[in-house]
Amino acid sequence: MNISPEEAQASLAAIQQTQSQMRKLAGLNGYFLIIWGLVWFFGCLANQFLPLGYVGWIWGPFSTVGWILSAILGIYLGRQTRSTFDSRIGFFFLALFGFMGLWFLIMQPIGIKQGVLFFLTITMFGGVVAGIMSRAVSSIIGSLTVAALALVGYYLLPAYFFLWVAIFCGLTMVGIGLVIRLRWR
Amino acid sequence: MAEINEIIHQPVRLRIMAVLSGLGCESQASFTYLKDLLDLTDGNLGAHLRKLEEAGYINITKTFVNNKPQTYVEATRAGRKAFSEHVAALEEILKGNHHEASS
Repeated sequence: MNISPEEAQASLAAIQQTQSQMRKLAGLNGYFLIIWGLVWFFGCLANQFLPLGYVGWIWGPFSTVGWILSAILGIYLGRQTRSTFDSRIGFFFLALFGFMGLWFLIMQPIGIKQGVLFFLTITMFGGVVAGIMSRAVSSIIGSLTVAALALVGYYLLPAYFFLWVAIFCGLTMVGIGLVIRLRWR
Repeated sequence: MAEINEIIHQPVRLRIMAVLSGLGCESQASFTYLKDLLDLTDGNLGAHLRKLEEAGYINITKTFVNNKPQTYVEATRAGRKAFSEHVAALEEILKGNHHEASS
């Protein structure tokens, strides 16, 4: 089969254009980080500044909205593509719950502050495992960064831990989500 | 030296294989996603998918999601290999060292 260099170039350009259109779909994953970053941001701000009795009034509705939006986004993304290797999903949850159990035994969280740190580190562990499984370096680096920032705030600024988490973890998640969204739009 | 693949070289099939090869190894694209992304009609996409399936480059899975029929498509190992060889052949032509193009 004879093909001219011009035709070869046009074919390669078509491949690149198609794969760049695909990245738009991948960019929608950034919304998960934006949604949960905002939930953590407002939830932790409430922990820092509101009396304990009012904190649930922020975490409750924000988490509910977060789950609803995540479910809508997940259903939409699931209609476009799906994974056939179901055992990988099983491995993900096995790793997540294994880490959760081990981390609980080591940390033995007491109180709200340790509870927030506990759930934040578990969420970020999930981000690292998901990043390894999907070969998404940005997910691994982003999750490790947020977890490291949370630990720094917990040990160095215990009095402002919730404010620290709101800004450096919640807004970092929003920022990473925006970068993913803008880079692959 | 990589060879141009006549089945994959057709423009629509080339773009279909570009999408399917761009997905992860264990990922499938829905028929609707492919149709929308490549701006094709049902009939046109279906015809090209059949051709690729006959060549053993893709697998087509028909299933039901919430009682609605859904078709998912994935590249086979042979399909991924054929696509990457085709891309390599295109790149060789651009570099000017493909024996068929130079003959």
